[in-house]
Amino acid sequence: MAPACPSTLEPSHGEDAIMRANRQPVIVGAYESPLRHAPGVHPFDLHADVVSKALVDAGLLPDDVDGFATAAGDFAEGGAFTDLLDVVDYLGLHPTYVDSTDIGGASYLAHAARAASAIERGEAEVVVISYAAVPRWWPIASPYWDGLTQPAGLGQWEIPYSPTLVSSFGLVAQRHMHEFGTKPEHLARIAVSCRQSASRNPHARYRSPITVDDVLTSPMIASPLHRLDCCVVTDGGGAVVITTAERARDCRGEAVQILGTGSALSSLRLSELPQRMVSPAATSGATAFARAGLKPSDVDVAQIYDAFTITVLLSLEDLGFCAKGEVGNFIDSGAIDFGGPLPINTDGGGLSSNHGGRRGMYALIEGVRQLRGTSPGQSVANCEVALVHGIGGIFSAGVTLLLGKGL
Amino acid sequence: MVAARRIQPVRDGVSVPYWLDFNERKFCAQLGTGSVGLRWPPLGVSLSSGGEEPSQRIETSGRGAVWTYSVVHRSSHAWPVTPYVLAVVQLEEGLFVTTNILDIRPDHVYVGLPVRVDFEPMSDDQGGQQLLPVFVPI
Repeated sequence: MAPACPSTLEPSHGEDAIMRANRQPVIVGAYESPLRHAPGVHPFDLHADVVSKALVDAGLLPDDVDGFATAAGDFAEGGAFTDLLDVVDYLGLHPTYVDSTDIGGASYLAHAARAASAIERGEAEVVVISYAAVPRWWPIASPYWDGLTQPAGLGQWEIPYSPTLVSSFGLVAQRHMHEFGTKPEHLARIAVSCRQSASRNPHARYRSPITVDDVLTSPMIASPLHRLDCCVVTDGGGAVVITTAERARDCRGEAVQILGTGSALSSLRLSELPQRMVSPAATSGATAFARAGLKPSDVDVAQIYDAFTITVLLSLEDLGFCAKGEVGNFIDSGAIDFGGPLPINTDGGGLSSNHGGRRGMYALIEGVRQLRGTSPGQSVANCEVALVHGIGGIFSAGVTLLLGKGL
Repeated sequence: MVAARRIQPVRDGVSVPYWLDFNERKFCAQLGTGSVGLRWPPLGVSLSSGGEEPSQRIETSGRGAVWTYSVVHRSSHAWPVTPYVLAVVQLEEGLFVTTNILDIRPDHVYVGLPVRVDFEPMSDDQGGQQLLPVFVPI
């Protein structure tokens, strides 16, 4: 019998080709909680709920799980320093492959990318990635949620000026407007498009359609971002199950291929924003496209992290859907409008459906659902390739996944 | 009753001299070793300096322009009182500095506004007074 590790075989060996194809990582289970408000529910109970339902979706059992990843140390996530241990203990799992990479909102996409590689190398068989948060009722404060860093080290030069999450992104939006003539209407149109998708999603927090004018007349939180430029706040959770293509044959859930992944890190510092007006998405996107052998025009649907309209706007450029500085024209052409040529955030996104503090998991699940044809929101016909992009910090991290239909 | 005030910085061996310079109304930047040149904020050990600890402080002109800004209307912070202006200023020397813009109506701030450094008293945990660099229109 051939060795289990493909890397020990000769490249031209036929059996090796079969082994590698069979170890190709696929997402075989996905579940997002329909809840948007969970008063009195501990986030670990939500982990237990979404993990068990994702496993049911996959047709696998907890005993089949040998890998687990989460990040649960942020506000309302229930964990402290050893958050992975906390969650694994509560779930009663005993994984031998583990990951708790914390790069903000993109963390769960990084977990998926690492798990895919580990599975391909034979270091894990069935990996579960899970997320849950209850920001709407959690009473334990996190001291750094608004400024992101401690007022020490490099943070001592920024935190005394009271930066907030919204104003930190406002700095980026303001500069983009100055450099490229981007208008508040362009940002607003992104929110309008997401809300239209949300109107189709029975679980979305906000479903009534809005206009560009509604966005621009909503209260200014930190210029140039209005309330409707900002994501919703919801309780909830979601989980995915990743395994090999070989194992997926015996699974219940329709398998979705992980075609390519890329990740990149940059700075958290606001004084370094001039260096990241081209965000990490430019690197993570290029890497993911190269590994998948695809280009932006191959993408049928894009789930782009929408904590704020500006996170989508900048990512559209940096992922290569349009040239740098051209996103205003791109949006003016109707490209990201509901029903337009590039469907985005088709479940309503963070801007209208759900956002517990980190949205990577929800974006990933919606990408999977679009390829399976099971989205609760706007369903994209003939969906073969889905892009999922997550952001951490203030454009401080980027992780891009390209997913493909079936096997 | 504790008056609302800014979040206090935690100083360290590298930063203490710069905070003392602020009390002398001097905004100094760090001169790195090798080809790094002038840097803000200061670093202790930097990979780009080959692990050598740079220690020279050079006083800047304190003059520059607003590179970008955001007027904060809702904030979790006790101070400053909203609306206040968060900004990144670019000094004449090319360095970028995170700061607040004061002495101007927030809706009058624009990218390119010429500014100069000023120093605002900020009381610290020991009951002492620390001057904090802020920027005001020239």
